[in-house]
Amino acid sequence: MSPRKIVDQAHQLLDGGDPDGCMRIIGYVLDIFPNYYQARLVRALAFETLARMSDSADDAAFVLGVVPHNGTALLLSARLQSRKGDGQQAQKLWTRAAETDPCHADLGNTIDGVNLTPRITHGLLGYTYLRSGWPELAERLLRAAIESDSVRTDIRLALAESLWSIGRLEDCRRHSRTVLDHHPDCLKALLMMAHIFTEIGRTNHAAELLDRASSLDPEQRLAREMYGRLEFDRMSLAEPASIAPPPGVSDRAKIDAEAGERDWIASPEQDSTPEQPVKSVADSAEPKEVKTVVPPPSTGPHLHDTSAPVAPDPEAAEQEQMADASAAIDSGGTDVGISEEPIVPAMEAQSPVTEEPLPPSAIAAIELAREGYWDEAMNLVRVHSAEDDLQAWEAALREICGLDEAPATAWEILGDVYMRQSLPQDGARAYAQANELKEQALNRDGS
Amino acid sequence: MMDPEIGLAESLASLEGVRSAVVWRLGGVPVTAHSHEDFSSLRGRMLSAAVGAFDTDIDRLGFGQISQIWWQSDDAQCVGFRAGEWQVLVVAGAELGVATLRSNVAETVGKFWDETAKRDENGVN
Repeated sequence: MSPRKIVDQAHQLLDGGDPDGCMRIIGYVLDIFPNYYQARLVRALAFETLARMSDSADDAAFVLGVVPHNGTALLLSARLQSRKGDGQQAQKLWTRAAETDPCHADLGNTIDGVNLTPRITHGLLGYTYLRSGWPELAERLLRAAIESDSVRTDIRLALAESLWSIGRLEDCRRHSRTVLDHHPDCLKALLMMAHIFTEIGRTNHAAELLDRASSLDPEQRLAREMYGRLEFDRMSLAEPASIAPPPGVSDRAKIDAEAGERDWIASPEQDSTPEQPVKSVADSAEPKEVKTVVPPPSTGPHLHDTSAPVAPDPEAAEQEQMADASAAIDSGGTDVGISEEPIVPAMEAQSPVTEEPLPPSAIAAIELAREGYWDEAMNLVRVHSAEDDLQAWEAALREICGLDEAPATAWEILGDVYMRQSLPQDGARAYAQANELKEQALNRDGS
Repeated sequence: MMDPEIGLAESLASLEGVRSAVVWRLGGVPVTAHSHEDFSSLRGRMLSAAVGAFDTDIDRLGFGQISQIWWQSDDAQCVGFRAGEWQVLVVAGAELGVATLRSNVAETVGKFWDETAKRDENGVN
């Protein structure tokens, strides 16, 4: 049975109010893999429930040595520091969690002495770019973050990863070594170094590092995820570890499937959807400039009721619709008077406030736009606005279009987002604004 | 594989006398194909959204949903229809006979639907 699945079941017991049962199962896993960091994380949470704070802090510190950006371990450590009365340290840990894992479901939970107002920092943006697949941009922001706080090994690790992603292996190696000096068990640093050693032919060193990494992550999940991103993967990994289930734990495939991937243990690289809406960083950022022209929120009715039940036989329905349409066209058209009203109605200033939590890539796009990096912002928008969270992207784009100097492209993409929501009236306004901006630009260039 | 909207728009835009065609499938972004240099993807999307907005207003007035539309200006004419989740608009020069334009569009769209139905039958997306 997969060790991860056993740990998941232990965590379920903990959630269900059975810390002793959880400890029994975790003890079984840790007897076999004493450094399995995910088991240590669950044990840390169980210790916290059992009020064994010192043991909990030890396990949390171990996990943070392995995965310095683990949001669950950071928040646990913040709670423990708060209980000890060290509000300053608790605040620092919470801030790190907000930067590295801004969608963590527990981020909004009250911790005594901690101000739960996230700030947009270089670190937050750097992590966001890294997760969004923009390592070049991430590098720039993470370097700025390190300049202001050089002891943050988690930021240095993220910088190393951004360099690794763009193939600057020598730079990556330098930063990874610094990280390993502080955290010899840092999993990502070990994996990147193993890859670099393989590339330069030092395969024995690479094998040693992979062995160390396997003791921390017996199923080598992170290794598979990271090496899977390589264009040429020369890394040779052993088969994932499997162990017999402990007494009282079922190995049924159904339970395995249900246990699945859990948000609480996901690394920040895996974008997780919080179970409850989490206040977005953008919502609580510095006061926004008041703009006179802001695209209004979508108001018009949807062209079609997309919630209508699906026809039982869509193929037959489509053919019938087509036959109707062809017949209608063949039988002549209906003249339509051309309206003298302008297509673009006056846009009234309205608040772009939204209840939707913004995805990290949208927050980054807004920040870039505010700083005037329009090309980068538009690239980010273009890539990510095709995602399914249309309402959140609509909110983000309305905010971007409300900024001075918003380019035609932003309005064009906002129009696309409206059309994808079947809101042609809003789409028409946004496209018209895009067209007007393009024409203005053409006139400027012409003159 | 190419999106079916793109294939349909390109087929329509290649019809004789046609300057541009816009195909909008609900839940997607309108796709434009054009042979006229004055037209652009943005203008195609604007046209599609404007007709969609008009359609919404007509529905609001209690006339039901528009299934076909035709307009003509000094310079151009546009034939459009909507079937289910599809909206198709074809812009041609004003000099082209509207009956020819309609039958050509109907034939092309009909072929497209036949092919789509066959692909669905064969389980090809």
